[in-house]
Amino acid sequence: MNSIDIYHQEKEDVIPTGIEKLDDLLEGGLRYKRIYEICGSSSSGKSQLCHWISLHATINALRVYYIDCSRNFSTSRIQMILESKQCSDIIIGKVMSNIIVHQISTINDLFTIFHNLSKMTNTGENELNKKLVIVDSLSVLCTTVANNELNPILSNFASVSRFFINYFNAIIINVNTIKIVHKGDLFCDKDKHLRADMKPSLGNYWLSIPNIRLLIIAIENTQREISIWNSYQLANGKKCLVDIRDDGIT
Amino acid sequence: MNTELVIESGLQVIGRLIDRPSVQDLDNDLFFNKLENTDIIEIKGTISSGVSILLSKLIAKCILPLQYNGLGVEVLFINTENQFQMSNLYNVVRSNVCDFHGPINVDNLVKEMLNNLKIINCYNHSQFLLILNSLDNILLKYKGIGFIIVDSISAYYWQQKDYLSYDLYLIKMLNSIKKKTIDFKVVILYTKQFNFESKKKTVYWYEESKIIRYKICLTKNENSNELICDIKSGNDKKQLHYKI
Repeated sequence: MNSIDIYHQEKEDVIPTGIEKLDDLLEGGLRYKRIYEICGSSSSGKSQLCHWISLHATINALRVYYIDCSRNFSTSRIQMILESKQCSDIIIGKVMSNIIVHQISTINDLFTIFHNLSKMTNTGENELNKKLVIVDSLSVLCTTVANNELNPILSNFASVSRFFINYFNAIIINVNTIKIVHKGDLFCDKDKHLRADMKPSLGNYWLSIPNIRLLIIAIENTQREISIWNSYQLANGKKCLVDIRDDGIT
Repeated sequence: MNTELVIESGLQVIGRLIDRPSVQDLDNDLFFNKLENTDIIEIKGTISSGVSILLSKLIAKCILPLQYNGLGVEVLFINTENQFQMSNLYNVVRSNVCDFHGPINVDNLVKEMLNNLKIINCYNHSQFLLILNSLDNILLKYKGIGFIIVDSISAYYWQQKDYLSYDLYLIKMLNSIKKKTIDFKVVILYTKQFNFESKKKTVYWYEESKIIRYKICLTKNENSNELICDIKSGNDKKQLHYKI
Protein backbone atom coordinates (compact mmCIF):
# COMPACT_ATOMS: atom_id res chain seq x y z
CA MET A 1 0.00 0.00 0.00
CA ASN A 2 1.12 3.49 -0.72
CA SER A 3 2.08 5.35 2.43
CA ILE A 4 1.38 8.75 0.93
CA ASP A 5 -2.25 7.89 0.17
CA ILE A 6 -2.68 6.68 3.71
CA TYR A 7 -1.27 9.91 5.00
CA HIS A 8 -3.64 12.02 2.93
CA GLN A 9 -6.64 10.04 4.03
CA GLU A 10 -5.65 10.25 7.64
CA LYS A 11 -5.30 13.98 7.45
CA GLU A 12 -8.57 14.80 5.74
CA ASP A 13 -11.04 12.32 7.04
CA VAL A 14 -12.37 13.77 10.24
CA ILE A 15 -15.96 14.21 11.25
CA PRO A 16 -16.85 16.40 14.20
CA THR A 17 -18.82 14.87 17.06
CA GLY A 18 -20.88 17.99 17.55
CA ILE A 19 -19.47 18.57 20.99
CA GLU A 20 -16.77 21.19 20.78
CA LYS A 21 -14.88 20.12 23.85
CA LEU A 22 -14.87 16.50 22.79
CA ASP A 23 -13.62 17.46 19.34
CA ASP A 24 -10.73 19.29 20.94
CA LEU A 25 -9.99 16.21 22.97
CA LEU A 26 -10.00 14.01 19.86
CA GLU A 27 -7.93 16.51 17.89
CA GLY A 28 -10.67 17.40 15.46
CA GLY A 29 -13.25 14.68 15.81
CA LEU A 30 -13.79 11.08 14.86
CA ARG A 31 -11.41 9.73 12.29
CA TYR A 32 -12.19 7.21 9.61
CA LYS A 33 -10.57 3.80 9.81
CA ARG A 34 -10.49 3.86 13.56
CA ILE A 35 -12.18 1.78 16.19
CA TYR A 36 -13.41 3.79 19.14
CA GLU A 37 -14.64 2.58 22.45
CA ILE A 38 -16.78 4.40 24.97
CA CYS A 39 -16.45 3.02 28.47
CA GLY A 40 -18.48 3.92 31.49
CA SER A 41 -20.52 2.49 34.32
CA SER A 42 -24.27 2.16 33.93
CA SER A 43 -26.23 5.39 33.46
CA SER A 44 -23.04 7.38 32.95
CA GLY A 45 -24.37 8.55 29.59
CA LYS A 46 -22.72 6.16 27.14
CA SER A 47 -25.88 5.65 25.11
CA GLN A 48 -26.74 9.33 25.30
CA LEU A 49 -23.37 10.11 23.81
CA CYS A 50 -23.93 7.52 21.09
CA HIS A 51 -27.33 9.01 20.25
CA TRP A 52 -25.80 12.42 19.97
CA ILE A 53 -22.88 11.29 17.86
CA SER A 54 -25.10 9.34 15.46
CA LEU A 55 -27.46 12.27 15.11
CA HIS A 56 -24.59 14.56 14.36
CA ALA A 57 -23.02 12.14 11.93
CA THR A 58 -26.15 12.10 9.79
CA ILE A 59 -25.97 15.87 9.61
CA ASN A 60 -22.46 15.35 8.24
CA ALA A 61 -23.97 13.08 5.59
CA LEU A 62 -22.89 9.79 7.05
CA ARG A 63 -25.03 6.72 7.15
CA VAL A 64 -25.28 5.45 10.69
CA TYR A 65 -25.82 1.82 11.62
CA TYR A 66 -26.90 1.65 15.20
CA ILE A 67 -26.57 -1.90 16.45
CA ASP A 68 -28.75 -1.98 19.50
CA CYS A 69 -28.16 -4.92 21.78
CA SER A 70 -30.03 -3.83 24.86
CA ARG A 71 -33.07 -2.09 23.36
CA ASN A 72 -31.58 1.23 24.30
CA PHE A 73 -32.15 3.17 21.13
CA SER A 74 -34.85 5.75 21.43
CA THR A 75 -36.20 7.62 18.44
CA SER A 76 -38.13 9.95 20.69
CA ARG A 77 -34.89 11.09 22.24
CA ILE A 78 -33.55 12.05 18.84
CA GLN A 79 -36.80 13.74 17.96
CA MET A 80 -36.66 15.65 21.23
CA ILE A 81 -33.19 16.98 20.51
CA LEU A 82 -34.08 17.98 16.97
CA GLU A 83 -37.31 19.65 17.99
CA SER A 84 -35.66 21.65 20.68
CA LYS A 85 -33.31 22.92 17.97
CA GLN A 86 -36.43 23.89 15.98
CA CYS A 87 -35.68 21.63 13.06
CA SER A 88 -38.35 21.13 10.43
CA ASP A 89 -40.09 17.79 9.91
CA ILE A 90 -38.16 17.31 6.71
CA ILE A 91 -34.85 17.45 8.50
CA ILE A 92 -36.11 15.18 11.25
CA GLY A 93 -37.23 12.71 8.60
CA LYS A 94 -33.88 12.91 6.87
CA VAL A 95 -31.95 12.31 10.06
CA MET A 96 -34.18 9.40 11.04
CA SER A 97 -33.94 7.73 7.65
CA ASN A 98 -30.17 7.83 7.78
CA ILE A 99 -29.96 6.07 11.11
CA ILE A 100 -30.53 2.41 10.58
CA VAL A 101 -31.20 0.47 13.74
CA HIS A 102 -30.55 -3.23 14.07
CA GLN A 103 -31.85 -4.85 17.20
CA ILE A 104 -29.91 -7.99 17.97
CA SER A 105 -29.40 -10.28 20.90
CA THR A 106 -26.47 -12.60 20.21
CA ILE A 107 -22.89 -12.12 19.11
CA ASN A 108 -23.56 -14.22 16.00
CA ASP A 109 -26.07 -11.64 14.82
CA LEU A 110 -23.33 -9.06 15.06
CA PHE A 111 -21.14 -11.02 12.65
CA THR A 112 -24.10 -11.47 10.32
CA ILE A 113 -24.72 -7.73 10.27
CA PHE A 114 -21.11 -6.94 9.46
CA HIS A 115 -21.17 -9.62 6.81
CA ASN A 116 -24.24 -8.07 5.20
CA LEU A 117 -22.86 -4.58 5.47
CA SER A 118 -19.70 -5.53 3.65
CA LYS A 119 -21.70 -7.19 0.89
CA MET A 120 -23.40 -3.93 0.07
CA THR A 121 -21.87 -2.28 -2.94
CA ASN A 122 -19.58 0.56 -2.20
CA THR A 123 -19.21 3.07 -4.98
CA GLY A 124 -16.70 5.14 -3.10
CA GLU A 125 -17.41 8.70 -4.16
CA ASN A 126 -20.86 9.09 -2.68
CA GLU A 127 -20.64 10.66 0.75
CA LEU A 128 -23.47 8.51 2.05
CA ASN A 129 -21.32 5.46 1.56
CA LYS A 130 -19.24 6.54 4.48
CA LYS A 131 -20.45 4.62 7.43
CA LEU A 132 -20.52 4.92 11.15
CA VAL A 133 -21.31 1.75 13.04
CA ILE A 134 -22.23 1.92 16.70
CA VAL A 135 -22.35 -1.26 18.73
CA ASP A 136 -24.30 -0.57 21.91
CA SER A 137 -23.08 -2.48 23.68
CA LEU A 138 -20.49 -5.11 22.99
CA SER A 139 -20.22 -6.17 26.60
CA VAL A 140 -23.93 -7.08 26.67
CA LEU A 141 -23.42 -9.40 23.71
CA CYS A 142 -20.45 -11.02 25.35
CA THR A 143 -22.14 -11.84 28.63
CA THR A 144 -23.56 -14.99 27.13
CA VAL A 145 -20.23 -16.14 25.74
CA ALA A 146 -18.36 -18.81 27.68
CA ASN A 147 -15.10 -17.63 29.16
CA ASN A 148 -12.80 -19.82 27.12
CA GLU A 149 -14.53 -18.76 23.91
CA LEU A 150 -14.39 -15.06 24.59
CA ASN A 151 -10.92 -14.32 23.24
CA PRO A 152 -11.30 -16.22 19.96
CA ILE A 153 -14.61 -14.47 19.32
CA LEU A 154 -13.21 -11.07 20.17
CA SER A 155 -10.21 -11.76 17.99
CA ASN A 156 -12.47 -12.61 15.08
CA PHE A 157 -14.56 -9.55 15.75
CA ALA A 158 -11.41 -7.42 15.80
CA SER A 159 -10.39 -8.85 12.43
CA VAL A 160 -13.81 -8.24 10.92
CA SER A 161 -13.88 -4.72 12.31
CA ARG A 162 -10.44 -3.85 10.99
CA PHE A 163 -11.24 -5.21 7.59
CA PHE A 164 -14.54 -3.34 7.54
CA ILE A 165 -13.18 0.05 8.55
CA ASN A 166 -10.30 -0.11 6.10
CA TYR A 167 -12.24 -1.28 3.09
CA PHE A 168 -15.36 0.78 3.57
CA ASN A 169 -13.89 3.88 5.08
CA ALA A 170 -15.96 3.49 8.20
CA ILE A 171 -15.84 4.30 11.86
CA ILE A 172 -16.81 1.82 14.52
CA ILE A 173 -17.80 2.85 18.02
CA ASN A 174 -18.15 0.12 20.60
CA VAL A 175 -19.75 0.66 23.94
CA ASN A 176 -18.25 -1.19 26.84
CA THR A 177 -18.82 -1.25 30.56
CA ILE A 178 -16.16 -1.00 33.19
CA LYS A 179 -15.38 -3.20 36.06
CA ILE A 180 -13.82 -2.14 39.29
CA VAL A 181 -10.76 -4.00 40.38
CA HIS A 182 -9.85 -3.67 43.99
CA LYS A 183 -6.17 -3.82 44.58
CA GLY A 184 -4.95 -4.21 48.13
CA ASP A 185 -6.52 -1.86 50.62
CA LEU A 186 -10.23 -1.33 50.18
CA PHE A 187 -10.32 1.57 52.56
CA CYS A 188 -7.89 3.81 50.78
CA ASP A 189 -8.83 7.28 49.67
CA LYS A 190 -11.46 6.40 47.11
CA ASP A 191 -11.47 9.35 44.76
CA LYS A 192 -7.76 9.47 44.39
CA HIS A 193 -7.30 5.88 43.37
CA LEU A 194 -10.57 5.31 41.62
CA ARG A 195 -9.22 5.59 38.13
CA ALA A 196 -6.39 3.17 38.66
CA ASP A 197 -8.88 0.62 39.96
CA MET A 198 -11.12 0.69 36.92
CA LYS A 199 -10.69 -1.57 33.96
CA PRO A 200 -12.68 -2.01 30.78
CA SER A 201 -14.61 -5.27 30.72
CA LEU A 202 -14.00 -7.97 28.12
CA GLY A 203 -10.61 -8.93 29.47
CA ASN A 204 -6.98 -8.24 28.75
CA TYR A 205 -7.04 -9.22 25.13
CA TRP A 206 -9.56 -6.57 24.22
CA LEU A 207 -7.52 -3.86 25.98
CA SER A 208 -5.33 -3.20 22.99
CA ILE A 209 -7.92 -3.57 20.22
CA PRO A 210 -9.74 -0.21 20.06
CA ASN A 211 -7.63 2.59 18.68
CA ILE A 212 -9.04 5.16 21.04
CA ARG A 213 -10.86 4.51 24.26
CA LEU A 214 -12.93 7.15 26.00
CA LEU A 215 -14.00 6.97 29.60
CA ILE A 216 -17.16 8.73 30.68
CA ILE A 217 -17.86 9.36 34.35
CA ALA A 218 -20.89 10.91 35.98
CA ILE A 219 -19.88 13.90 38.09
CA GLU A 220 -23.23 15.24 39.24
CA ASN A 221 -26.79 15.56 37.87
CA THR A 222 -26.13 16.37 34.25
CA GLN A 223 -22.38 16.83 34.27
CA ARG A 224 -20.16 14.17 32.78
CA GLU A 225 -16.42 13.97 32.51
CA ILE A 226 -15.02 12.45 29.34
CA SER A 227 -11.38 11.50 29.24
CA ILE A 228 -9.04 9.70 26.92
CA TRP A 229 -8.18 6.40 28.43
CA ASN A 230 -5.64 3.93 27.15
CA SER A 231 -5.07 5.19 23.67
CA TYR A 232 -2.04 4.46 21.56
CA GLN A 233 -2.57 7.56 19.52
CA LEU A 234 -3.68 10.45 21.66
CA ALA A 235 -2.30 11.80 24.89
CA ASN A 236 -3.79 9.92 27.78
CA GLY A 237 -5.64 11.45 30.67
CA LYS A 238 -6.76 14.58 28.85
CA LYS A 239 -10.31 15.32 29.87
CA CYS A 240 -13.26 17.60 29.37
CA LEU A 241 -16.57 18.30 31.08
CA VAL A 242 -19.81 18.05 29.16
CA ASP A 243 -23.40 18.73 30.07
CA ILE A 244 -26.14 16.30 29.08
CA ARG A 245 -29.44 18.13 28.82
CA ASP A 246 -32.78 17.73 27.10
CA ASP A 247 -31.68 19.61 24.05
CA GLY A 248 -28.45 17.76 23.57
CA ILE A 249 -24.89 17.66 24.85
CA THR A 250 -22.73 20.73 25.23
CA MET B 1 42.21 -25.40 1.98
CA ASN B 2 38.58 -25.70 2.80
CA THR B 3 37.31 -28.90 1.24
CA GLU B 4 33.78 -28.59 2.48
CA LEU B 5 31.30 -28.56 -0.33
CA VAL B 6 29.01 -25.56 -0.35
CA ILE B 7 25.74 -25.92 -2.12
CA GLU B 8 23.74 -22.80 -2.64
CA SER B 9 20.32 -22.34 -4.11
CA GLY B 10 19.77 -19.66 -6.71
CA LEU B 11 17.74 -17.74 -4.18
CA GLN B 12 20.60 -17.78 -1.73
CA VAL B 13 23.02 -16.51 -4.33
CA ILE B 14 20.77 -13.61 -5.22
CA GLY B 15 20.08 -12.90 -1.58
CA ARG B 16 23.79 -12.82 -0.92
CA LEU B 17 24.59 -10.72 -3.93
CA ILE B 18 21.94 -8.05 -3.47
CA ASP B 19 23.57 -5.60 -1.19
CA ARG B 20 21.11 -4.60 1.49
CA PRO B 21 21.77 -1.26 3.12
CA SER B 22 23.20 -1.48 6.60
CA VAL B 23 21.15 -0.59 9.66
CA GLN B 24 24.05 -0.64 12.06
CA ASP B 25 23.62 2.96 13.24
CA LEU B 26 19.90 2.73 13.86
CA ASP B 27 20.01 3.69 17.49
CA ASN B 28 23.11 3.32 19.55
CA ASP B 29 21.34 3.92 22.84
CA LEU B 30 18.82 1.17 22.37
CA PHE B 31 21.02 -1.30 20.58
CA PHE B 32 24.07 -0.93 22.76
CA ASN B 33 25.62 -4.21 21.66
CA LYS B 34 25.69 -3.26 18.01
CA LEU B 35 23.08 -4.24 15.53
CA GLU B 36 23.80 -6.83 12.87
CA ASN B 37 21.83 -7.00 9.67
CA THR B 38 20.24 -10.32 10.59
CA ASP B 39 19.09 -9.58 14.11
CA ILE B 40 15.66 -10.01 15.62
CA ILE B 41 14.31 -7.38 18.00
CA GLU B 42 11.33 -7.70 20.29
CA ILE B 43 9.41 -4.72 21.63
CA LYS B 44 6.57 -4.85 24.10
CA GLY B 45 5.03 -2.18 26.20
CA THR B 46 2.04 -1.21 28.28
CA ILE B 47 -0.60 0.90 26.63
CA SER B 48 0.46 4.54 26.35
CA SER B 49 4.09 3.74 27.13
CA GLY B 50 5.03 5.00 23.70
CA VAL B 51 5.56 1.87 21.64
CA SER B 52 4.03 3.45 18.54
CA ILE B 53 6.13 6.58 19.01
CA LEU B 54 9.26 4.47 19.27
CA LEU B 55 8.29 2.63 16.09
CA SER B 56 7.71 5.92 14.27
CA LYS B 57 11.13 7.14 15.36
CA LEU B 58 12.88 3.99 14.20
CA ILE B 59 11.04 4.00 10.88
CA ALA B 60 11.85 7.68 10.37
CA LYS B 61 15.53 7.06 11.04
CA CYS B 62 15.49 4.25 8.50
CA ILE B 63 13.67 5.96 5.66
CA LEU B 64 15.46 9.29 5.88
CA PRO B 65 18.17 9.48 3.22
CA LEU B 66 21.82 9.58 4.24
CA GLN B 67 22.19 13.33 3.76
CA TYR B 68 19.49 13.90 6.36
CA ASN B 69 21.24 11.85 8.98
CA GLY B 70 19.11 8.82 8.19
CA LEU B 71 20.00 5.39 6.89
CA GLY B 72 18.28 5.35 3.52
CA VAL B 73 16.78 1.94 4.18
CA GLU B 74 13.35 0.92 2.96
CA VAL B 75 11.03 -0.49 5.59
CA LEU B 76 8.39 -3.18 5.26
CA PHE B 77 5.60 -2.76 7.78
CA ILE B 78 3.22 -5.65 8.35
CA ASN B 79 0.20 -4.03 9.92
CA THR B 80 -1.90 -6.54 11.80
CA GLU B 81 -3.23 -4.38 14.60
CA ASN B 82 -4.27 -1.28 12.72
CA GLN B 83 -2.68 0.89 15.41
CA PHE B 84 -0.09 2.57 13.24
CA GLN B 85 -0.67 6.23 12.52
CA MET B 86 0.85 7.68 9.41
CA SER B 87 0.48 11.29 10.52
CA ASN B 88 2.73 10.52 13.48
CA LEU B 89 5.47 9.30 11.21
CA TYR B 90 4.93 12.21 8.88
CA ASN B 91 5.50 14.67 11.72
CA VAL B 92 8.68 12.93 12.87
CA VAL B 93 10.13 12.84 9.35
CA ARG B 94 9.05 16.41 8.74
CA SER B 95 10.71 17.78 11.85
CA ASN B 96 13.91 15.95 10.90
CA VAL B 97 13.91 17.47 7.44
CA CYS B 98 13.09 20.89 8.84
CA ASP B 99 16.22 20.76 10.99
CA PHE B 100 18.23 20.72 7.81
CA HIS B 101 16.23 22.89 5.46
CA GLY B 102 14.15 25.20 7.51
CA PRO B 103 10.42 24.86 6.99
CA ILE B 104 10.37 25.69 3.29
CA ASN B 105 8.94 23.33 0.70
CA VAL B 106 9.49 20.33 2.89
CA ASP B 107 6.12 18.68 2.31
CA ASN B 108 6.89 17.23 -1.11
CA LEU B 109 10.26 16.07 0.07
CA VAL B 110 8.73 14.30 3.04
CA LYS B 111 6.12 12.64 0.87
CA GLU B 112 8.83 11.31 -1.34
CA MET B 113 10.57 9.82 1.67
CA LEU B 114 7.37 8.19 2.87
CA ASN B 115 7.56 6.15 -0.32
CA ASN B 116 10.35 4.22 1.36
CA LEU B 117 7.84 2.71 3.72
CA LYS B 118 5.88 -0.23 2.37
CA ILE B 119 2.81 -1.22 4.31
CA ILE B 120 0.95 -4.50 4.14
CA ASN B 121 -2.40 -4.56 5.89
CA CYS B 122 -3.38 -7.90 7.24
CA TYR B 123 -6.74 -9.01 8.58
CA ASN B 124 -6.67 -12.61 9.67
CA HIS B 125 -4.48 -15.50 10.61
CA SER B 126 -4.31 -17.26 7.26
CA GLN B 127 -3.54 -14.02 5.49
CA PHE B 128 -0.77 -13.40 8.00
CA LEU B 129 0.76 -16.81 7.33
CA LEU B 130 0.54 -16.16 3.62
CA ILE B 131 2.40 -12.87 4.00
CA LEU B 132 5.11 -14.45 6.14
CA ASN B 133 5.56 -17.22 3.60
CA SER B 134 5.92 -14.83 0.71
CA LEU B 135 8.46 -12.61 2.43
CA ASP B 136 11.25 -13.93 0.21
CA ASN B 137 9.39 -12.86 -2.92
CA ILE B 138 8.66 -9.44 -1.46
CA LEU B 139 12.31 -8.98 -0.53
CA LEU B 140 13.43 -9.99 -4.01
CA LYS B 141 11.05 -7.48 -5.54
CA TYR B 142 11.97 -4.58 -3.29
CA LYS B 143 15.73 -4.58 -3.12
CA GLY B 144 16.01 -1.62 -0.79
CA ILE B 145 14.17 -3.21 2.12
CA GLY B 146 16.49 -3.77 5.02
CA PHE B 147 14.09 -3.64 7.93
CA ILE B 148 10.90 -5.56 8.57
CA ILE B 149 8.43 -4.58 11.26
CA VAL B 150 5.59 -6.82 12.39
CA ASP B 151 3.08 -4.97 14.54
CA SER B 152 2.11 -7.17 16.23
CA ILE B 153 3.22 -10.74 15.79
CA SER B 154 0.66 -12.25 18.13
CA ALA B 155 -2.42 -10.42 16.88
CA TYR B 156 -3.99 -13.64 15.62
CA TYR B 157 -2.93 -15.93 18.42
CA TRP B 158 -6.56 -16.47 19.33
CA GLN B 159 -7.55 -17.37 15.80
CA GLN B 160 -5.21 -20.30 15.32
CA LYS B 161 -6.73 -23.73 15.46
CA ASP B 162 -3.69 -25.59 16.79
CA TYR B 163 -4.11 -24.36 20.37
CA LEU B 164 -0.42 -23.73 20.81
CA SER B 165 0.81 -22.01 23.93
CA TYR B 166 1.60 -18.34 23.53
CA ASP B 167 5.37 -18.76 23.60
CA LEU B 168 5.30 -21.70 21.25
CA TYR B 169 3.12 -19.76 18.82
CA LEU B 170 5.58 -16.90 18.94
CA ILE B 171 8.51 -19.18 18.22
CA LYS B 172 6.62 -20.80 15.38
CA MET B 173 5.90 -17.44 13.77
CA LEU B 174 9.47 -16.26 14.29
CA ASN B 175 10.85 -19.42 12.75
CA SER B 176 8.75 -19.08 9.67
CA ILE B 177 9.90 -15.48 9.29
CA LYS B 178 13.48 -16.52 9.85
CA LYS B 179 13.22 -19.35 7.36
CA LYS B 180 12.08 -17.00 4.64
CA THR B 181 14.49 -14.18 5.37
CA ILE B 182 17.65 -16.03 6.35
CA ASP B 183 19.20 -15.46 2.94
CA PHE B 184 18.55 -11.76 3.06
CA LYS B 185 20.32 -9.36 5.30
CA VAL B 186 17.33 -7.81 6.99
CA VAL B 187 16.59 -6.85 10.56
CA ILE B 188 13.29 -8.07 11.93
CA LEU B 189 11.45 -6.16 14.59
CA TYR B 190 8.22 -7.37 16.09
CA THR B 191 5.92 -6.16 18.81
CA LYS B 192 3.83 -8.35 21.06
CA GLN B 193 1.08 -7.93 23.58
CA PHE B 194 2.26 -6.88 26.97
CA ASN B 195 0.36 -9.00 29.41
CA PHE B 196 0.47 -12.32 27.66
CA GLU B 197 3.01 -15.04 28.05
CA SER B 198 2.96 -18.71 28.82
CA LYS B 199 3.08 -19.48 32.49
CA LYS B 200 5.62 -22.24 32.28
CA LYS B 201 9.13 -21.44 31.15
CA THR B 202 9.72 -24.30 28.78
CA VAL B 203 12.41 -25.25 26.32
CA TYR B 204 10.82 -22.88 23.88
CA TRP B 205 11.72 -20.05 26.13
CA TYR B 206 15.33 -21.11 25.87
CA GLU B 207 15.05 -21.35 22.13
CA GLU B 208 13.49 -17.93 22.00
CA SER B 209 16.30 -16.37 23.99
CA LYS B 210 18.70 -17.80 21.43
CA ILE B 211 17.13 -16.22 18.35
CA ILE B 212 16.15 -12.86 19.75
CA ARG B 213 18.98 -10.40 19.91
CA TYR B 214 17.30 -7.54 21.74
CA LYS B 215 14.28 -7.49 24.01
CA ILE B 216 12.90 -4.08 24.73
CA CYS B 217 10.22 -3.57 27.32
CA LEU B 218 8.55 -0.21 27.85
CA THR B 219 6.62 0.36 31.04
CA LYS B 220 4.83 3.28 32.54
CA ASN B 221 4.46 3.69 36.26
CA GLU B 222 0.81 4.69 36.71
CA ASN B 223 1.45 6.57 39.93
CA SER B 224 4.56 8.56 39.11
CA ASN B 225 4.06 8.72 35.33
CA GLU B 226 7.67 7.65 35.01
CA LEU B 227 8.61 5.92 31.78
CA ILE B 228 11.16 3.16 31.89
CA CYS B 229 12.73 1.22 29.07
CA ASP B 230 14.39 -2.11 29.87
CA ILE B 231 16.68 -3.58 27.27
CA LYS B 232 17.99 -7.10 27.37
CA SER B 233 20.55 -8.47 25.00
CA GLY B 234 21.78 -11.91 25.87
CA ASN B 235 23.06 -11.52 29.40
CA ASP B 236 23.55 -7.78 29.17
CA LYS B 237 20.93 -5.46 30.55
CA LYS B 238 20.37 -1.77 30.33
CA GLN B 239 17.76 0.58 31.66
CA LEU B 240 16.80 3.91 30.16
CA HIS B 241 14.46 6.62 31.35
CA TYR B 242 12.72 8.59 28.71
CA LYS B 243 10.10 11.22 28.13
CA ILE B 244 7.43 11.57 25.48
